[in-house]
This record gives sequence, structure tokens and C-alpha cells, in this order.
Amino acid sequence: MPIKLYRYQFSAMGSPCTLRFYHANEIQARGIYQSAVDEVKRLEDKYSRYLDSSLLSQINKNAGTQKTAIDAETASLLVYAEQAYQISDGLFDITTGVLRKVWDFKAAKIPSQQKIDNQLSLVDWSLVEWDQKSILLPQKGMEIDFGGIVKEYAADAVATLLKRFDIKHGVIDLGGDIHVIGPDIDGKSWQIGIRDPNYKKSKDKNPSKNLNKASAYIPMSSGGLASSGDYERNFIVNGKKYSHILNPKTGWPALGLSAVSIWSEQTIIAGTIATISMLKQDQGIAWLKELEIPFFAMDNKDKLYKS
Amino acid sequence: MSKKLLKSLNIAALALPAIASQASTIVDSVELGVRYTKYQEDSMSAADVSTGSLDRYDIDVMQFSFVAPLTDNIQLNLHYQEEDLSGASPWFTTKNADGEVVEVMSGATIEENRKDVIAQLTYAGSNFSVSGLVGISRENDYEANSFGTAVSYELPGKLTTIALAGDISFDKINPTPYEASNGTNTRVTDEEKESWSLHLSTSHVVNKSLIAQVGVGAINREGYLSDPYKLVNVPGTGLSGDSRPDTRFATTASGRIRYFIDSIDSAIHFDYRYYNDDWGINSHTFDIAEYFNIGYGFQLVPSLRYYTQSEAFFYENYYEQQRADGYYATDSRLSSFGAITLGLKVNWQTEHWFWTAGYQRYTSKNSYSLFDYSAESLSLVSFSMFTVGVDYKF
Repeated sequence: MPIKLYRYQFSAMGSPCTLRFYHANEIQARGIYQSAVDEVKRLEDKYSRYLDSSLLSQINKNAGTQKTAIDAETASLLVYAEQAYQISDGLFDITTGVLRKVWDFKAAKIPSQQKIDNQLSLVDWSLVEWDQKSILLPQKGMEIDFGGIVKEYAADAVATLLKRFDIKHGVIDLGGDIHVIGPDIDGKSWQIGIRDPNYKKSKDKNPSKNLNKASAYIPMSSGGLASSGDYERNFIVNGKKYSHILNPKTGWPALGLSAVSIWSEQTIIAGTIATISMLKQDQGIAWLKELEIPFFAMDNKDKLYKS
Repeated sequence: MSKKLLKSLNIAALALPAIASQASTIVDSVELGVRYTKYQEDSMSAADVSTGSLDRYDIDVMQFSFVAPLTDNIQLNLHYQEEDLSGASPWFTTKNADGEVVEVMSGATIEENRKDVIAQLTYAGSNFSVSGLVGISRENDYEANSFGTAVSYELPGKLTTIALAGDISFDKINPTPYEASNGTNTRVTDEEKESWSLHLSTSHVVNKSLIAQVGVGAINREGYLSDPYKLVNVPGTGLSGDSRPDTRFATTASGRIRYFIDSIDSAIHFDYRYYNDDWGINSHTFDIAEYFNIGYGFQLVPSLRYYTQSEAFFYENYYEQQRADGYYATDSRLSSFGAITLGLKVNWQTEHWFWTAGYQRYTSKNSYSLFDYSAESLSLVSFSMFTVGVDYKF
């Protein structure tokens, strides 16, 4: 049967998702797509902080009161989060999310230092009691979330699934978290677009022209690509941009870089490194160079950096 | 220092269950399959037969297959086949009163039953696979035990695959005794045969519509390679057993092309194989098939095969003189001939089911040969074959 490129779009984890892969049989391709969606939805149902029924919400609800039993997959995600915490000297902290409660990006208002300090007392991954079987957030009001981990992990999980179905050429895009399986069928790299960090700014000037404009195309034939940037959610006060990437030590948004894209074997690693480099602010670029990891970054003066 | 930190993150990532599972070509669920094939040879022409039945072989074949993943990396394939054969076959050639060569058919109708079992285990890594198989074949007069192994490796970039396969078979031949008029068994007993083959191939994705494969192979056979049920009229000696060399070495070269035509949603398969052995047989096989996807999961596959071979150096339709080397065989399969097979297959695939039905018509003639031939062989076969089957994937 002829090999064809199949392209499917769906919505999951609050993002538009696209699956592209070559397959010889339409019915089987459809079945594989369905399994991929099921896998993403499984992770969403388990780890979404927006779903009351999720295991993550359960863990957060039990904060300060009781342990929550966890399975092996959750335990290994916690091990991963712990490693990320270690290598970032505490900058990558999955308890940071509660700071969003004082930083209201819709209202575009800087909260008082008092409010920030109050919330900061709930941020500290090192206080969390956890092991292979259970987790306890020691204080009421503490929360964990897998933002910056689970969507990336889902992209890797779908890649593993597609490989199991013997797919050798495909691209998984879960809201910008990319995993590429092999080159395009003609042996050439896929051209993966990364979003222009000034997308919003330019959209105001000329919405139609820049709507889907990518600032760069990265040729990829394997592995993961993830991006982080202040363009996703931010507000500007007195000419200063406040992004949604919040520093767990200061309680304030990270400044310095406006966008980072990282290439790594696994999308989850690319995502973690991208987030950490944003949090490292002015030291971000130097840190990425030290890691010798392929990257593409833009600082808040629109200057481009490449590995 | 930082690089070391990155490594620790990598180790934690690779321990995540959805990432850790090995990429492989192992099936993800159990598959069961069954096929029934009716194979029917055309009758001999009365003018060509001096005595015996004109009917040739009729074969019913049932095949069952079972494929299951044992782990994420290991797959088990089991295959069972049972064949029931009945009919008569060409026995020897002689001359009739007019001096024309005619065929004598085996007297009584032959009834045979054959059972084959093949078990194969495959281990698949991310860019390679290794498999081993054991095969057992039993007939009342023949048994074969075979062992095979295959490895394939995908080069970085995943566009090129290299594969090497080999097998070895040990066969025992104990033909049904034939009592001559003096009461002695004129057939051989307890004969043995050993064979091995090797095949090396590489396939390459040339572009999005073309996949090509080339391969070379070698086949070696040793031991009793004659047909115990055939006789030859040897001048000055009379009827003697079919007698062929006890070694046979062949080399093969093959090429395959898969060409995909998006606009009509179909694929053309073109295969060619060259074969050469030290019995003097050279052959060419050309296969062309087109896979039309006609919608709703249906596929239509018309196919055409042309085969032609040269004759073995010791082959004669009828021997007029003795041979110094003592080799004699009038088996038409050793003659120079050509054969055309026309086929049509319909496949229907749904989520769990795969149905297939096909018909093939095979016609062979000396005149279809691209090679020279000394005389018309009377017993070249033509047959029809009808297959139906279904696979279920859990």
C-alpha cells in the first residue's frame, strides 16, 4: 500500500496539537492516531491542575492533612522533578505554581511585596515529603504542578508509542512541544518553526501578516524541541515586561531572556532546560553554552543567540 | 560540571515509563490468521500419456498462524500448515509404437499428507532485530528439521536497512517401497539430504515514492537430490531410478522496487530474481503487481509473473544414449521452459479484521522459454490456485 503522510489535529492539555506521520494504511494510521490521543488524554486526566478528579488535584487537596498514594509513573516524574530542582539550584521548583495566585496577568497589576512574601512561604520543594509510594505537601495551601514537564513528557510518550507502531517518519507537536521521529520520508529534515517572541507586539500592528509567523525554522530529524518565553503570558508596566515565568526564590517574574528553544533527545529535557535558562535570567545564555546543548534564544533587547 | 548535571537529568528522564519502553517492531497485540488454498493441476493430455491416470495433483492446504508479543521486545510467531495431496504424477517417459515419446503416469492415485510447524522468536531493539526459527516438516516418506536465523540493522537516519538471513535443513527420505515383479523393493531407503542458504540484502528509501531493495544469496544442497518416485529409461539398462548429482550449489541476485503513486492511491511492486546453479540451470523471474486502494478499506491487486529457466546439463526428455556421468532425469522441472502466472487478489481491511481472496493461473510451456530447448517436455504443469483467508488482530 502506498505510504502517505497523515496529519491529525486535536486539542489537549489546553493546546492545539498536531500529529503528522507516514503510514501505508489509512485505517491503521487512524487507529495509531487514536492511541496517541488516548495517551495524551490519559496524562491530562492524571496530571491536569484544572481537573478536580486528577491525581495532581488530589495531592494538592490533601496538602497539610494526609499523604496521597502515588503510582510508579508519578514517582518517576517526582524523581525527574527532583533532578531538575538539583541541577538548577532550586530554580526549577514544581511548588512554584501558587505564586500565580498573586500575579494576576489578566489584571496586569504588580502585587504588593507583602502578598508575594506570603505566597513564597508556600513555595519550597525541599519541604515536600515523598517516596516511591506516596507524597505529602506539608502545609495547607501548598501545591505542585507539572507545568513544564507533563506536556513535554506526553510528546515523548507519543513518540515512543509511534515508534512501537513502526513509524519511522513523523512529527508530534503538542502546543509547541515537539518530538520528531526520523527525517521526512525523502531523507530531508523537517523544518520546525519556532514562534516569533514578538508575535503579540507585531500582531497589534498588522494582525493578518504575522499571525502564524515563525521567527526561525529549525531543521530536525530526531529528538525533542521545547521552547519557553515571556510571550506566552505577560503584561507590561512602565515599559517593563512581567512574564508568567516566576522565580521560586524571589517570587518575581524572570527577566533577561524573552525566548529560548532547546533541542534534546527527549522533549521533557528540552522543556526543563528551556525553563531553567529563562529563570537564570542574564546568566541563561552562559549556562546553556556551558551545558553544550543546542539552543536558540532571544534576549529582551531582541538580540539572537545560537549554540 | 554542568554537563554532568544534564546527564543526571537524562537518566531521570529515561526512567520515565512512557519514554523507557523500547522502540521496536514487535506487534502490539495478538494476531491470528487462517488460510485455505485449493491447488489444482490441469490433467495431462491423453495423446501424451501411454498408460496411467491423466489426473494430476490436487492439493488442499490449511494454514494457521499465531503472532504474539511476549514482552515489549520479543515476538513469537507460530505457523502450522497441513497439506492433503492426491492424484497421479509423471513416472517415466517411453516411446510408443509410432516412435513418439510419451509419458507413463504413476499407477495408483497417490494420497499424501504433510504437516509443517514453524516457530520463530524475534528480539527487536531500537535499530536492529534478531530472530531465530525452528521448523519441522513431516510426511510419511519425508521428514525435515530446519533452523534459521536472521539479523537486520537500520543505519542511522533510518532510510537504509541491512539484513542477513541464513538457514540449514536436515532431511530424511524414506520413499514408499515399490515392489517390482520379482518382489524386491526398487526404491531407495533411508536417504538423507542437507541444505543451507544465506541471503544478504539492503533496502533503501530513495524518496517518498520509491523504496528499493537489492539482495544476493547462496544455496547449497547435498545428499540425495534425485526424485525417488521417478524412473528413467536408460538405453541398454532399461528402467532405472532417477539419478542426479549429489551436490547442487546456486547463487541468486535480486532487486525489488516499490513505487507509490499518490494521485491514484496505488503502489507498484516490481521484483526481479536471477538464479544460477551448477546443474546448468539459469533462471529469471519477473514479478509485477499493482496495489490499488479502492476505498472503504478495499484493495485490488492484479499481478503478473514471468519465469524462465534453462535446462539442467543432464536433462533429456528421452535418452537415446547412455551418459558417461550416469546422471539421468526426464523431470520436466529440469527442462528449459517459461511460465506465466496471472493473479488477482482482493483484500479488505477493517480495524481488527483482514480478509483476503485470490486466484492464480499458472501456465508453463517450453515455447515460453527465453533459453534453447532440445525437445518438448510432455509433463510441464499448469495449475489454478484459489486462496481465501482471514486475520484477526486483538
